[in-house]
Amino acid sequence: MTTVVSPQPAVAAAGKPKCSPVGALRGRTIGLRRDRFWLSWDWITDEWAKAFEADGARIVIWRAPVGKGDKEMVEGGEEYARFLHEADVVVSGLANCGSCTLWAIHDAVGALDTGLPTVAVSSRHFEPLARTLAAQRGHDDLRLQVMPYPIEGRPEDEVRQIARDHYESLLAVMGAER
Amino acid sequence: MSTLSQERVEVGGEIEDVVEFSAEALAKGWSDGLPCVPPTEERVLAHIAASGLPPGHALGRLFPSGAMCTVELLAVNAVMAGAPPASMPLLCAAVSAVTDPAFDIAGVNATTASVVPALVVSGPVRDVLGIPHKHSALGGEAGPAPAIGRALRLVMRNVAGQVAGRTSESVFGQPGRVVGIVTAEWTEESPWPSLGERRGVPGDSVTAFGVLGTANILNSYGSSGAEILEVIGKSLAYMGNNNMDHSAQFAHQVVALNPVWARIVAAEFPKMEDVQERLYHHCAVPIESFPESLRGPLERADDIREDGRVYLMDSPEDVSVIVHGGKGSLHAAMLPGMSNHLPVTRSLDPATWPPAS
Repeated sequence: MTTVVSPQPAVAAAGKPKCSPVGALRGRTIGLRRDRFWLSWDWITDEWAKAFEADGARIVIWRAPVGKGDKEMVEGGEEYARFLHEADVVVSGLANCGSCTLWAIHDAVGALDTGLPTVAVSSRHFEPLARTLAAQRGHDDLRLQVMPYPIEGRPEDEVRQIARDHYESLLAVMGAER
Repeated sequence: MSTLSQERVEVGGEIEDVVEFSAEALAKGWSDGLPCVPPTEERVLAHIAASGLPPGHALGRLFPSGAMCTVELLAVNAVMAGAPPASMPLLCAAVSAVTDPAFDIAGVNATTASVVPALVVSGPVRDVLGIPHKHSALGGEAGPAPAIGRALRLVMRNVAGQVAGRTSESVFGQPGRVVGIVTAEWTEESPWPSLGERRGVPGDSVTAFGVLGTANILNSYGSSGAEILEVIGKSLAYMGNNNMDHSAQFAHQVVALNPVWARIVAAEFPKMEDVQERLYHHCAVPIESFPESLRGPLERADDIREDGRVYLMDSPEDVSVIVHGGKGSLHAAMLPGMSNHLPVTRSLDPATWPPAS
């Protein structure tokens, strides 16, 4: 036998609180996290915003920036903090590519770590990556709404219909009550 | 008493049995499949000593794992990769560079694209380490560059947790994801200041670029600087370049000029700013060349300029030109940049680095 030094860091125990259900929607502020990648995600969140409002919730929207320098990074972080402060519930998406999945989950975990009920949204293909990334950050019980894949590139009407068709499923994943 | 904090692992076989250790390292998920040098305590300590930094020194946080890369973790992976101890200062600077927020290592490591950090070394350390800068500067010359590049790749695997098909969605990957891309400038043959100097870091430095690969650009005529730059610019502005996509916000491109062409170009464009301006002008595609279905998204993203073209770059500063390669001329190389990502240059002097966060 030979003794070698491990090339991997020790894995910290998860130990994070469970992802709590949303509960009653009426009177709550739903924070929708958008990005700069997916037009389909704008259409989906448009439809869901209308449905949430019909169920008595208020909507705030934050579009995650793509920072080109330190100034933009800091400003983006401050915007995100304000968004979390304003929201009672966060819906973070869209996990629909490698890097955008990482950032959608990163921001979902940021919301969870402040104690906000949170659901992340992923397209079917990127579900395993989304769950792996969430588990790496101690949230293997992440609430994840899965959408069809591919979603981008479909006609707008079709995407909006898909969003409407998945609203009930979203509420179930969120643990939301009307 | 040892100063190392990493877990010690008992492995089968004798200490020098690289074949046996390599098989075990692969089974443990530590390896890329190439032979690995067993990272014994003695070897790891030698690498740490060569870094000039304490083992627990934090170099930067890596994603997707979110783990902090210390000098000790880097040293273990550098030993396994076969990188020489003398390369540790360069590797420490490289880790500091790729963990700068501007580099967006999280996106680089998780993306569907084939991006890999390419390291361009400037300064006298090039000759101390033997970094290639003449023939086959981007890969193929015997020397330590592949092992140095591989050390950074093993750090991505073992510390950042980048695993193909699990945390990396890269559709195709690329050969540089095994041994990296480690090169240097042939500054003695360059008509312009070194890349490091142009980026405000004189002396020994390393610049990390997120590149999607290397591709060759042939021009067997090469009659003038203007013509050479036009061929390069129009080649770089291919429709599938990441930054031509409507979803991309910005990117940085790299062009490698051979020394012969560098001299021809410099005769007409003595200032690097003029070379960048010329490339910027040629890196654009008329909107009518795009398939009709893509024109709407490009228009919505405000990507069509007044002259009816889609530009690859926001400004001329978004391309770096380096001079290296053989004097057989005839070819340039392009290293298209990853979108929403910027290069970062670090001096090899740790005192100049921002604190790791």
